[in-house]
Order: sequence, then structure tokens, then C-alpha cells
Amino acid sequence: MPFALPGFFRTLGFDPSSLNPVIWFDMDTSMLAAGDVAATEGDLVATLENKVSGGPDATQTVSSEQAVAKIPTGGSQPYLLMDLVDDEYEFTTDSSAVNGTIVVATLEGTYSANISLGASTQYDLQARGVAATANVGFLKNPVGYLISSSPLSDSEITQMENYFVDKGAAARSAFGSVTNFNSAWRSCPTLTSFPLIDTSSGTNFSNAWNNCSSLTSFPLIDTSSGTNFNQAWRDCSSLTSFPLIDISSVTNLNSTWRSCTSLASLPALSVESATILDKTWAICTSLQTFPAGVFDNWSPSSLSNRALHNTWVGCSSLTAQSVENILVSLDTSGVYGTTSGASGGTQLADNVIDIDYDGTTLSSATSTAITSLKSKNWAISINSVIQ
Amino acid sequence: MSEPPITEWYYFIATPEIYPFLEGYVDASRGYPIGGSKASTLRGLPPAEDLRTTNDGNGNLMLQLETWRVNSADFTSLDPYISSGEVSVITKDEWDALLPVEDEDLLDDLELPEDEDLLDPITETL
Repeated sequence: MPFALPGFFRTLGFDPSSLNPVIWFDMDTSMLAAGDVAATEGDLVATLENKVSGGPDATQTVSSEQAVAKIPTGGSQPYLLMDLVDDEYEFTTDSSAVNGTIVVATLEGTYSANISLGASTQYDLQARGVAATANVGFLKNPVGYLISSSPLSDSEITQMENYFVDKGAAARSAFGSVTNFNSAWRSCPTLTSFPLIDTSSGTNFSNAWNNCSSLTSFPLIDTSSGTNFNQAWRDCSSLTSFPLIDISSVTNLNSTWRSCTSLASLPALSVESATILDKTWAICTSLQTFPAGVFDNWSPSSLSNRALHNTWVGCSSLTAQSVENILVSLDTSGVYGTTSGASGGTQLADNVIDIDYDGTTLSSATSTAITSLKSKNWAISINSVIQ
Repeated sequence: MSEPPITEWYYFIATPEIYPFLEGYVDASRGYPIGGSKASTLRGLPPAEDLRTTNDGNGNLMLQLETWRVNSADFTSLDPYISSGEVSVITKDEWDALLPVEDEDLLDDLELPEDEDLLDPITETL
């Protein structure tokens, strides 16, 4: 039987200071109420005091935007109760930029990711990390944060996450039971990487990474239970590649990769259940290669009225081969431009398949697919010209 | 005074003219500002310019507060302004209907790429 060290021994001797943090908030000692007093149970927390000597504190001077100190009795560890509306804290970096790692530890789960912060810049700290818009998502009870001055190694991350887990945070594995990732990391534009977490129970990924504009890559997460990817990676404008995730159960692909302006190619995704692909890849201005066969197994239970509205609009780099790949695969699916997706159904109010591309000569296979699709209640618009 | 809705949140609508009174009332009743060299509370409510305005053209300010932040004495003080219509306590559905039209709602009526400038605001959808 494996011998598991209890938490006390696991972190015994580990000092987060050894990671050269620029920010380190521990809710057992960092929460201050107005007047510089240690917050007690139920107090509004005006400042998160940095445990790094000389490092910036995080402050909030408006009481309605201050979170609440939770200091349970009976041995449970303190945490900060943030609302998911407007609670947040501001901090300003010193004269040096930071390219390090952030560890965010909450009662809902703990994650670590690389982060880039500008010098002498003010940022908002929210439950989900450093974020540019108000509190959203499901992370709401922080136990601690750490931002290191340089990227942490995997072993250092493990040590730091264990440190916070021993202070009451839920481990990274807790994400495995989360079903609703709606807006979980929305508008975290300082994140430059995202960790491989367990998302196998996730059904709703709506807006989960929307506007994480500094992510250059993304891990192969388990999306096999996902049904809603509405705007999931929209405005992830630095993504240059994307993994072959499972989208077989996804019904909502509205604006999923919209404005991923650095994405040059896509993996061989398989759209199978989607009922709406409105603007799914719109304004992916660098997207040249759209793979063949993406829609070969498309068999939606129904179609939304704007099923393929503006799906590839603004994709000015798409090649003629990509246009062929798209239209031939749509034709292969046998799906009609009707509300049922079947022959004889009610034609969609907007039955146009919108594609922009680089304007080079289209193939005869493309022309054949266009003719066939038109017989299936679809209209096709290529570079704003109805075919 | 009408009974406030039973919810985790109160949703207030206030005229811009009355909002300074609300700010002053909250600060006075809570003893703000509370100073400190590291931790201070300067005000109870956000400045008006940080609040959203209703989409009905009236320019009224929208303020969402957790119920525990508001007590019965607050409602007593607010009563004249609620009676006069300068402050309203509304339901979540009414609040949602008054939120500024942003993001996805606008996108459905506009063609790309002209609507790109409208993409920045964040709203919850779906």
C-alpha cells in the first residue's frame, strides 16, 4: 500500500519565499479590515497584505466591492468570500515586468498558469486570478495567491499547490467534478499558458476562456461531455495552434473561436451535434487551412435559424482548398438548410453559408458542392457574393 | 414602503440626481471613510461613473447589492425616495431587462466586421 504523507508533513520545510514571489497572499494572515486591523469573521476586507516584503498589497477602498473574511471555527482555514459581481482588489506592479507563474488557490479548485504583467501597471485581482472584467465564473472563495517573478517548474508548482491545499484549498483535481465552466477564466488577458486540468465532467464551457488574449497554445483538455462552447475561446488572439479536442457532443458552437486572429490552421475537428455555428471561426484572419472532413459526420437534431451565419466571415486568409474542404464536407453530411436539418423541413430564416477566403480560383469540386448544397435548401455566400 | 424582493441581491435603480444622496447616506451611516496606512475604506458605494445606466433612455443608475449589505434602517431612510420613484427596488427579471444592450444582443442584428467595435463589453449569454 502506498504511503501517503499527510499534508502537514508534505509542506513541512517548504517556504513559498523560496520561489521568489512578487505577490503572495495567504488568507490566514493577509486579510486586513479598514484601519489596518486583522480581519475577523464577517469583516469586509479592505486590503490583502502582501507577504512579500516591499511587494504591492491589493486594495479595495469601496466597501460594496470589498469581499468578506471567512474565518471558520473548528480548524478550517480562513478564506475570502467574493461575490461574483463586483468584488475585486487592485494592485500595481513595481518597476519590473513579471513573466512568472500565478497560483490561484480556492475552495473550488487550485490552478497554476504562466502570467505576464507589465511594469508599473495596475491590475485587478479577482477570485479567478488577474482579470480584466468583473467577477464571473465559479471560483469565488480564494485561500491564497502567489505570483512568482519567473516561471515555476512543475515540481515547484506541485509544492505551491500542495501548500495551499494544506491551507484549505481544493486540489487541482477538484475541477474534475465541475460541470459548469461558464466564464471560469474569462478575460484573463495576462495568462500566457493554461494548465491541463480535468474538465471531463464539464458540459458548459460558454465563455470559459473568452478574451484570454495572451494564450499562445492550449492543452488537450477533456471536452467529451461538453455541449455548450458558446464563445469559449473567442478573442484568444494569440493562439497559434489548437489541439484536437472532442466536440462530438457540442450543440452550441456560436462564436467559439471567433477573432482568434493568430490561428493559422485547425486540427481535424469533427462537428457532429452542433445546431448553431454562428460566427464560429469568424474573423480568424490568419486561418489558412481548414481541414477536410470536419462536417462529414454532422447530424444535428435540429438547426438554429442562423446555423451557418457568418461562420467563416472575415477569414481572409482561407485558401481555395479550405473552401473546398468546408463545402464538400457540408455536402457530404447530407444536412439540409432547414429547421430540422432534414429534407422537406422548413427552410431556415437565414440559410446562408457565409465564407470569406483569399480570392484565389475555386475548384470544380467546390462548384459541384455549391450546386448540391443549393439543392439542399442552403444558400452560399463567398466573399459576400451569393453563388 | 413596498416589501423588497426576497433574494440574495437587491437590485436598485436610482436617478442620477438622487445618487449623491445615497452615497452620502451610506458613508454617514457606516462611518466612512475609515482610514489606514495599509487598509482603508473611503466610500460605501461606487462613484456614479462606475455604474451602468438603464437601457430605457432615462439615464438611471443601476446598483446591485447583496441583501446582507442593506438593513431595515436603510429602507426606512430610502422610503421617501422609493415613494417618489427616485429610487426603485426591482426584480432580477426587471434588472436584466434594463441592462445596457451589449455584445451578443447587438451582434445578432449586425453584420461583421462592422460590429467588431461592439464586441468588448462582456455580458452573460446562454
